[in-house]
Amino acid sequence: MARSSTENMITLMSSDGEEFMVTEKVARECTTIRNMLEDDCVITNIPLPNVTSDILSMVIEYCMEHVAAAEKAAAETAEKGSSSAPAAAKANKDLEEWDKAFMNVDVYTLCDLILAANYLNVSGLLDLTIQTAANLIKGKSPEQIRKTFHIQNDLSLEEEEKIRSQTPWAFEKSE
Amino acid sequence: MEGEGREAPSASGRNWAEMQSDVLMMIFFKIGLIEVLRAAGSVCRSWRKVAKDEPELWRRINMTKHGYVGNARLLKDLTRLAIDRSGGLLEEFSVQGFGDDDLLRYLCDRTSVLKKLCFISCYNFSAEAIAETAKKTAPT
Repeated sequence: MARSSTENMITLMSSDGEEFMVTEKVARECTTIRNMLEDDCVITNIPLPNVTSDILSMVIEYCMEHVAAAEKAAAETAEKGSSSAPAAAKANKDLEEWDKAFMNVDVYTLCDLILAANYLNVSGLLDLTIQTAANLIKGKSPEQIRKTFHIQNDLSLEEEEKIRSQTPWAFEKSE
Repeated sequence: MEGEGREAPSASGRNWAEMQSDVLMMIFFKIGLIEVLRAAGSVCRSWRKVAKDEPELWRRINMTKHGYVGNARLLKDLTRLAIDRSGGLLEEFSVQGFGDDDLLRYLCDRTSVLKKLCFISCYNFSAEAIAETAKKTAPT
């Protein structure tokens, strides 16, 4: 990725002590970090005790891709005077495809990504991950959802009985 | 996808049964309340707790786009349950293609903060019941 030498670099430190150098522009994709930078503009080293290195590297990958796409769109607009609609539509579609491929993860990684996106307040990534989780839930029975997300059924017999009486269909096996 | 091939929880030790309630609520809003009542709210204790004990989730009840449920009696039961869970905080209620005066009375006996009522293709409500609802829920 091309970056100007004058651009500020920020070091993000994961919970397991790994350091990631990113441009300020990429870091600012995280609203939580943006707020820190606005409160204290000389800050260059930010510890993130809630995010592990493997998840932080994914969050950074997402932010870099989205910053690059926005920069490319802005450059094209500047070059041509106005943005060309078909080119912009294609760029959007490419980014959507990229997001889709990015979401090809197991449910544990998805869980960590959601929590990181929520903590760092990366709204695009939060929307994407929440939508992915929602798609995995929709149309499934409780048992199928448990299987998908590796969740133990810890409901007591009384609770199950109550659910059964209120929502009898919930326990039907649809497989 | 779907966690195949990985048995251990995530490196951070987090798992879906212990998902933060604010995140679960975002997911529940996304899947829609019918899906919460139908399945997601019965997955485990913590998911059930969020589905049951967060009136915020039920502030706006949208019982439209339910084509796949298909059974009017079932839809009425689901709607009653949704109204119960709103804990008196129901502000917006939308219904499509089912419901009757009983349901309407059930609704207005259980909220005092209703701001928006939307009926789409509902033919079983009497004018009296609608007038009664309007009167009961009108701002004082």
